Amino acid sequence: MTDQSLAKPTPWYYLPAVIIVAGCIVAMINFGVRSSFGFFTGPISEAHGWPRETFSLAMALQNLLWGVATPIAGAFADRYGSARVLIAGALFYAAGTALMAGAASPLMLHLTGGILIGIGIAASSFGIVMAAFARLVPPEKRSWAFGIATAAGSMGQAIFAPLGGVLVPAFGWYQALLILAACSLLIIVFALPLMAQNSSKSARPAGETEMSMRAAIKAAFGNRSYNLLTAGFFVCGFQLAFITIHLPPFLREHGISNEFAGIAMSAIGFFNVIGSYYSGIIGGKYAKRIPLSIIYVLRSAAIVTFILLPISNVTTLMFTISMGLLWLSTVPLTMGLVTVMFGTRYMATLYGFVFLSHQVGSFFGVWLGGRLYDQFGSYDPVWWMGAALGLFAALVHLPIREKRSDRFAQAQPA
Amino acid sequence: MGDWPGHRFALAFGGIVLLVWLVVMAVTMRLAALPPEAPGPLLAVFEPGMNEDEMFARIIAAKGKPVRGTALGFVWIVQGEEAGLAGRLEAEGAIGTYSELPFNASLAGCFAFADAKLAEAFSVRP
Repeated sequence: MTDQSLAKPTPWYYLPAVIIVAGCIVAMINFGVRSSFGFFTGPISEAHGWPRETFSLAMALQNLLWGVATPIAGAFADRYGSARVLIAGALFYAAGTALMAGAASPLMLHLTGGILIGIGIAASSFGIVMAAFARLVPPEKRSWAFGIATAAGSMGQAIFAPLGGVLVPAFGWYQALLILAACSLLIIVFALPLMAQNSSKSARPAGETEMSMRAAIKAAFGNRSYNLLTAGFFVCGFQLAFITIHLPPFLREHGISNEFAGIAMSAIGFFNVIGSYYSGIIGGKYAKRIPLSIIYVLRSAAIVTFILLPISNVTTLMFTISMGLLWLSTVPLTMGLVTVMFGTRYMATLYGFVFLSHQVGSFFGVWLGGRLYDQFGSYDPVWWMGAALGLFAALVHLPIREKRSDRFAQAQPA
Repeated sequence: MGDWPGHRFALAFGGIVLLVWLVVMAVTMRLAALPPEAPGPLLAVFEPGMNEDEMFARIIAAKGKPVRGTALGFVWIVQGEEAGLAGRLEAEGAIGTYSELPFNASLAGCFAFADAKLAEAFSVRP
């Protein structure tokens, strides 16, 4: 008998298609559930007689924790495998969402809706899913896998947001939150096929050099290309968060109806799915830094064109479609660059730090949007800032060396 | 491990997700419809293509106050504090009534229309 005939067949739940579907559903739920929380601002605030600021602070904390906890969750994923971290993340996510429903004081709301959910989102995010994909999928399919995972996350956002809006009137906000908590528990089921990548004790993948996590983080931060990539992703966060939060009031100010603004914002979600998927395909065929630079240039061009033209339904829709196509299309390329430069062993941790920079950018996008509006009575300064930052990001990606970092390259036998 | 899937797989997966979403949305929308005794403010969905004056007249006949139309011409925001407004609007030909917030009017319009057509298609009445 040959070795091959003795080998056990792959169980169905470890088949490539099952792994991809499972990972995509995890990304979908992770991104989707959080996109519904906006619908609870009014009902929760009114039910407890709290000012809206209380709920807003919980959501702000959630975003902050999401950013801070991502590299930590990544480190656990690199050490103990993505599936285990996803399962832990789902438990945090579900507990936070369910307990948020019962929060009787602002402090409880901040602890549950802010901190618990923030940690849960970080530990069950698509970054952790993509780390598993990177280790399981052959290198030639890797960028495609990053693309489909990002597209699935985008799709989750697009389909859960309207669902959340219907759940509240259908079941009341309390039960709607419990339903969403149950949805986040589904992550546990869909994380199981990713056990196929169970890198317990952080096994060294073939072709990658032996290095501790601490040394890997130190080496990455000593790498110019990694720092440039991190700086560029700050801009991504700045632009997206500013548009998400401040575009609807900007449109209202320019006479666009609430309904049309809603349709225009949905267009971002829909075209984001297409953009993310194709960016994964492009990343698999060409040098990743070039399309990444082009994306930032196109974002700047879209912003400048939008604010220079008279604001109408047509220009609004053109803008949101363009931004949708460019929205998360940066993710598969950024993740791909991290993998090219540092390999797959510590990729969740190293991508986590890049993502932290994205979240810091998000904070500034949201905060400066409001701060400068109050100061100048107009969003124009922040739009121009967003466009200028886009050009900065385009430039910083160009010198990135798209090859394995010297410290991470395995010495070749003489 | 076997072969890794490709674009057709991605397309099929996206299609299945959309299909499942449509079913879940349709069921949830039906549950979200207001009971007949509900007062305003609410979203009233009429048959697409119905004349604006006719919709206006029907809202008045149901003892409601038309606040404004929405981006979808056949969805109206209706005010009225008297209980039973939702039921009266349906008796006047509205195909669905929904709570005004946090509903998206376009969503309510599309799903109420689809729901009404489905109910009509599977109706056992002659």
